[in-house]
Amino acid sequence: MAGGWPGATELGDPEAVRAALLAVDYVADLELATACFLALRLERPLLVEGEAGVGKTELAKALAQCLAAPLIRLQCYEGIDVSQALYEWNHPRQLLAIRQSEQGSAGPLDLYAPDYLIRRPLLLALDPPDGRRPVLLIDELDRADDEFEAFLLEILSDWQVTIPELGAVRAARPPLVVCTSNRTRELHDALKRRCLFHWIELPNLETELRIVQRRLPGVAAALAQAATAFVQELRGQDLYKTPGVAETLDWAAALVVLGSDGLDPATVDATLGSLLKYQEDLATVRATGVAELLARSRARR
Amino acid sequence: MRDADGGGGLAGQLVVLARRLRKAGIAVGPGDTLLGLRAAAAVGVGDPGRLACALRCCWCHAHADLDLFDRVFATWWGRPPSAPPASGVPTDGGVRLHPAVGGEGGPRDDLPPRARREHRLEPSADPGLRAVDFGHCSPAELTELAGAVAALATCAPERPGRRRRRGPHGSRIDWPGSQRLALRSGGEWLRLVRARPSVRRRPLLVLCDTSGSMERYTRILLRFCHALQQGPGGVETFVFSTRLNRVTHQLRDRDPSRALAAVGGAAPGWAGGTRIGDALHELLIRWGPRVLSHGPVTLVISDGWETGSPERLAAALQRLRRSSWRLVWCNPLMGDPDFAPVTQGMRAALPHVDLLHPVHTLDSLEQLVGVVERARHRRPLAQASLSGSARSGRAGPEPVGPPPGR
Repeated sequence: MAGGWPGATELGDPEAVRAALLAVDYVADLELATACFLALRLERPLLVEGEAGVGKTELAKALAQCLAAPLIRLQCYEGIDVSQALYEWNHPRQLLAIRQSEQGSAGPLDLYAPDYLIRRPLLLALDPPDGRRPVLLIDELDRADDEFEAFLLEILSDWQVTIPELGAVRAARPPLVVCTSNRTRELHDALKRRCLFHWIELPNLETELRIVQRRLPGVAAALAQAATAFVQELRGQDLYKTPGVAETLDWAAALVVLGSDGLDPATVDATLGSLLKYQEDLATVRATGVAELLARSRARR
Repeated sequence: MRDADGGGGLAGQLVVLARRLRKAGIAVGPGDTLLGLRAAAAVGVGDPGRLACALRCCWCHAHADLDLFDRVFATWWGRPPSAPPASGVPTDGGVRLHPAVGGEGGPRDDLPPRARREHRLEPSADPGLRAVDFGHCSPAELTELAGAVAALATCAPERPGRRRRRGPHGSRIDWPGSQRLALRSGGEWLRLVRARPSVRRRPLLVLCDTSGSMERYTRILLRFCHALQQGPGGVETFVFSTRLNRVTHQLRDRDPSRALAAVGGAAPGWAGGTRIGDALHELLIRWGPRVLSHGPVTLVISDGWETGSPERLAAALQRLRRSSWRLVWCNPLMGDPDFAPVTQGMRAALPHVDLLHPVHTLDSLEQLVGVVERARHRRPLAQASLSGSARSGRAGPEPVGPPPGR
């Protein structure tokens, strides 16, 4: 396996990646495992898309965990720019250094030395100070402006950036990059071409049940089963925002906190806010009838 | 699709697959082919499932590609290229063509060939036509107007951006910039640099009714949509009648007659009944996150003849309005002096729109463009916004500008 990953000695094929992810409680199907395997082996960034709450960000965390690598996260937002993503010069320190040198202590002053550089996530990932090869998560890339996307191209294909005052910084060993997108806008083709692409689907009943049991070991088997079946039923409804796996987990956790050992309409109705985040969706579900949906979800099992 | 690519072996066969995918509409470049070869070498080629997984994440770049890939892959695997290949593209195996390659030349290519050159006509060839209702125009007059419509419409609504640009009259101080400047003069703060918010494009979402009741206006209004689409980016266009169809891609074609023909091909419900509520719901659910997340100016171009339930329409509009920066309902029937928003659809819609605007003449379209461009400023929209009276449904709306002609 590619060197430089402390935890990656035995990740020789997609099944091994899948097992390793499962060991850190991330349930992946073979397709996703193959994509991760190839991202590691071919040293390509991995672009993961899918509905909100299917575990795109979790994937990066799980990968970092099973590679025993540090996770560096860059949360994208509208207006993000080089000074927040890559580097910035430490102006106050530079100013102080000037003042000091005016008092005539040391010799010639180099204001653009690495000492005065503030490293932001992308630079940290290319040139980690402790030398440990990281996993870089570029989260919600679709929120950033398209100019920022263009700026990422050099980093993602050549693993280098240019800082005018210092010259090019090149990664000795490229980090594992996971980009996620919610598809609020289509990413540019140039970026997509540099990445391996994977679309995470919402899981089916068995898979989701496994996820719930893995992530929340404290949930009774019967409750987990009932809750998952109910969410699956809910996804069939005409909703603005169908609940993702993250919502299922929230909800199951909420049910545990409430101490319920089974599902009844009153409990479901009281906790529906963990699953549905739009007033219209709540109204739709209540119009159909929580009891009715519960009955249908029981029939599903 | 001949197998004249020599090579043989794994490389040759993967090249054949890449070419089939390219024909089916997935852009697999030479670099991608190389990547695919490396991926195939990494996972091995014994197991088709595994190979498919590997190639899919190398060669697909969008969710829409996945299904198409699977089908082409299945044909390719089942019929290895060493056997005599099926004659031609694997379209016969039920493979859906990508919108990029399918749907050329719809049945409605009846725009005169002259339309092609009219793109650069001056805004109005005949001033007399400016105030004439499109519905009363002869085909020849419509052709003349089409050029003018195309010339006037480049809407670019704006919004303040998050970033700041340097500007001498900016309202805020750019601290890092000032510091850099001070550094240049040996750490003395001689001057402060100011910054102002940058201006960014606001997206524009156009929903155009192509149902039977709109027939007199559809062609010229689609021409207007085409012109909007040709403007600066960030424009999404949908047409609806009983169903909703995204036609952004079709309208990107610079040639208007080809673009309109492609829209005709892509929108099967053309000239049928209208279910505006259903269409808007479909927009919210299927396309919502992509077209509504950045607060677009939304134009609904429709006469409001709704055959579905008005409650459903009202609910959808309410939600659409909350996701839009401005929601403008453009009704071509407002040219009629006796117009009142009394159809079920219009009555349901009125409380939820920011502005009701006519689109029956060249003049009214021009005003509409102005309204959209000014939408940068805070509510209320224009001087005649529906903030008070019409939102509560008491009075009829006033269109912006002069009264509708004839």
